[in-house]
Amino acid sequence: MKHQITCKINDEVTRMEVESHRTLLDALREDLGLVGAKHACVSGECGSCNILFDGEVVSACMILAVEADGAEIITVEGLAESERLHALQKAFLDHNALQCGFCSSGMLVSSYALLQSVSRPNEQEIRAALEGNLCRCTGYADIIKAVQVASRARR
Amino acid sequence: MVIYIKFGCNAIRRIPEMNEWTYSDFYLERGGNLHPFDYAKPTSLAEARTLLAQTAADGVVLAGGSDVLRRIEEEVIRPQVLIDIKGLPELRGISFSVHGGLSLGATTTISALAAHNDVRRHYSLLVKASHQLGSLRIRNRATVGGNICVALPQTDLPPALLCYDATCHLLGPEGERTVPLSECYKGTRQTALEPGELLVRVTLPAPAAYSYGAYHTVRQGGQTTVVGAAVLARRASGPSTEWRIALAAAAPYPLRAYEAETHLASAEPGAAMVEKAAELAMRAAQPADDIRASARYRRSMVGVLVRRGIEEVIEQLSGRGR
Repeated sequence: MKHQITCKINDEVTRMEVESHRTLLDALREDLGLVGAKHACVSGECGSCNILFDGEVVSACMILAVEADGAEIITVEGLAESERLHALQKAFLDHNALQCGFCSSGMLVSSYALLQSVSRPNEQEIRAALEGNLCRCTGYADIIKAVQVASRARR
Repeated sequence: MVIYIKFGCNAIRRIPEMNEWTYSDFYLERGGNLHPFDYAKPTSLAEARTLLAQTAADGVVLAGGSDVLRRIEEEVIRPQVLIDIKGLPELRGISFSVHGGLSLGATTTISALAAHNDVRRHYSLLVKASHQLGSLRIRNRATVGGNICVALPQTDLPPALLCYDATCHLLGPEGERTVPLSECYKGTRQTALEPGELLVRVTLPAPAAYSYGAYHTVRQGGQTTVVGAAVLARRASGPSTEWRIALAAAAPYPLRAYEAETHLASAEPGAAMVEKAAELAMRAAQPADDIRASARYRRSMVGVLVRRGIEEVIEQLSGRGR
């Protein structure tokens, strides 16, 4: 069954026709070309497909595209302002908070959500916000540092 | 029969004819699609009831989706239609009154529950349990009703709800009925819900004059609880204390440890009382062997976690100078 849905993605009103059984992740990646959210575990365990859904971090693989009707979505592509990287993205680059980069979009989206609610998070809060975001190469120390730096840079 | 064993993100699959184990990614095997199904989002209870009655065995209720979509992805279930209940206003929201207690709409998300001021003030054990449930992105989607209706041993919210004597309100073709949460479970993945019935809300009695709860678990950050114990003490106006103990991942479903509770209420306070209660809780447990832990480990951890919980609660009670 096909459904017409309208949602706001990265500040742009988007209309799509989606099948009932299409996940939001697939719709974003394959129909809209927003490949920042990664296709990995498809079971909500790894955090690679994190997006903001009505302001809250969620796994795009665990939501149906049809459920996004009327929702406001922000993907990692929506963090930068045109050519200017978001403070978080810049801090990730400056502090080597990535190696292969596969987990980075999920880490960035989780961190972005954290900074929306807590402007100067401590290490504990950052760890809690990134809980369940798996990185298999860099380790987490530089990621946490980068989030701290970014939170200061924003002031 | 094909046997699948899931290891985190992927799986290995045993193909009997070939008698060998092969690596498998269900998703890629299907060319990146879930098994097809229809989707319906009723906007009124009447419409939802009709849909539930019509679809009966082929319909599956969708709330947060963290369990249902995963099971569809793994092809454990193949529903014809998903009935999304998030559009039903009667299933939304949290309400509280000092005399009436707490009412939680079935589609309340775990995050919304943990952030609610009245819940934080009067039912803090629910907040502690919420914080142990999955990761933030799961808590943002997973619902109170879903955490009950999946009827899995390792769910974190039900032990806390059991401690508060929660009641489930079920709506079926015949109307609404109430069932105490402790009687809602019939087995793993089995509840007292009849076909066509829907969990509408969960209610908790008015809060005690004073209560304190602890929830201790064995788990890795963001992952499923390996074993857990909720301990709650309640005091009305007098000095007598009422105890509640409920266990996660220690039986086919979330379970109260009644004998341990009774012992705490009647025995002479002291270390021996705590030890005995922990032992009684261990005896009540009927844990399973699975990929996360052995039954023996779980049972022994029940003892440890219950003891820690009781000790934390006692310390808190004595800190108040009685």
